[in-house]
Amino acid sequence: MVILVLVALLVLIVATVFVSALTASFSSIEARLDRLTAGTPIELRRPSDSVPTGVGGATGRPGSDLVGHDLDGSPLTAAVVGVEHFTLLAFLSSGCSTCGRFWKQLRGGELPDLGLDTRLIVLAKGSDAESMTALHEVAAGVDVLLSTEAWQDYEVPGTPFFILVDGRSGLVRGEGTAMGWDEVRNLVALGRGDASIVTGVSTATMKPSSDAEREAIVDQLLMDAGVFPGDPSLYPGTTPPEVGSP
Amino acid sequence: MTTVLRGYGITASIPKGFEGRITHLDPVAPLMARPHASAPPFEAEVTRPFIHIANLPLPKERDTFGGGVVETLGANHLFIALVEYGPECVGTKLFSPLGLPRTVSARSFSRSRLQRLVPGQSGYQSFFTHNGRAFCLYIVAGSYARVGTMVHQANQILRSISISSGRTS
Repeated sequence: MVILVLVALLVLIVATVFVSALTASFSSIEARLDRLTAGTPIELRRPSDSVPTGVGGATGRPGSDLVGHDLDGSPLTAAVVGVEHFTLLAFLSSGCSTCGRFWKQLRGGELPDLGLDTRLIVLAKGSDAESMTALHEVAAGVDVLLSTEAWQDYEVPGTPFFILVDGRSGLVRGEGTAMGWDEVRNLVALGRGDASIVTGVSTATMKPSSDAEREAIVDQLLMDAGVFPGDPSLYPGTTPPEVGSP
Repeated sequence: MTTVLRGYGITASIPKGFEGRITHLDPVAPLMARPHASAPPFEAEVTRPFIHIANLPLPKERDTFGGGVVETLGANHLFIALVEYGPECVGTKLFSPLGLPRTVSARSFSRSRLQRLVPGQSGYQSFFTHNGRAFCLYIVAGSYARVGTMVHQANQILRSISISSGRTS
């Protein structure tokens, strides 16, 4: 009799544990379903429809040509739209600490390898909004375009900030901030749909534009998920190509 | 859509696809300003601005007549230089034509008018005085065979240039 009661008690305990675990699991699933239905849905977006998201973000808004002065005060304009190449606009300032590493490399002539067909233009604000003394110090020898107007035209939120413009379409293809040239090169690779910039593997064979667009969407999704060119997960069972340094 | 390049009394509308830079070189210091100099002092050099307009990226370092740029011109590229000379040139025979040329023709381009001979290119040169200031207009077409299609763009730019009289700074 006692044994029977003990067995019944054991079965009751096991059943209680099992039901509790089942309830907890169900609650978890229910919560996830709630988030999926009521929260932010997963959205497949084309680069031209997306909003700034740090490095790799992209917009389809129009770019504009640049007007300003160089460090010596000489007037200049720079063509960004209506040209046959991409232009990477690097908005830097003399005061931001993160910009320091970019200035240092630019002063040393260490220009990032952005691939063929991408022109780098370094911009700072004009004398109305930037310390010229400090700028001459950090940007000595660097070809800088001073234009407060450009910051307004491109709605630059802060420094450092990078914007990639496709000269053929005249549209912004990517924008965001970065801590180093590696991240900037990822932005350029994404905007151009050209992984060779970061992998060093040539993509000389041209693809149909529909393929390139599809590839750009996939690249966007992967980079949003934190998977950048060269990530081992992209090369199951093989050795990923070595990602070049700037 | 155009942008406006303005400086040293010169204004130009830069059409889409083109860009421009106005440069004023620092004068070379006179000899007496150098510690080792023993010769009589020369007067300090006075430099004049030059303006470059082209449909390709213009680097910061460029020679007055486009050295550093013209070597890289492609077949569809056009380079325009407007170089100012000193007031002593005003009234001389070379600069006697009055007014900036507003139109150039394809026939006025020649390989022999290049300041720097680059195979395939052709050039145009004109010396003139405009509003009391002496200038040389120098144009390089990336392809001699395509000058005909480029003069339209050159003329569009030339018609947009205004040069004020007097001081250049």
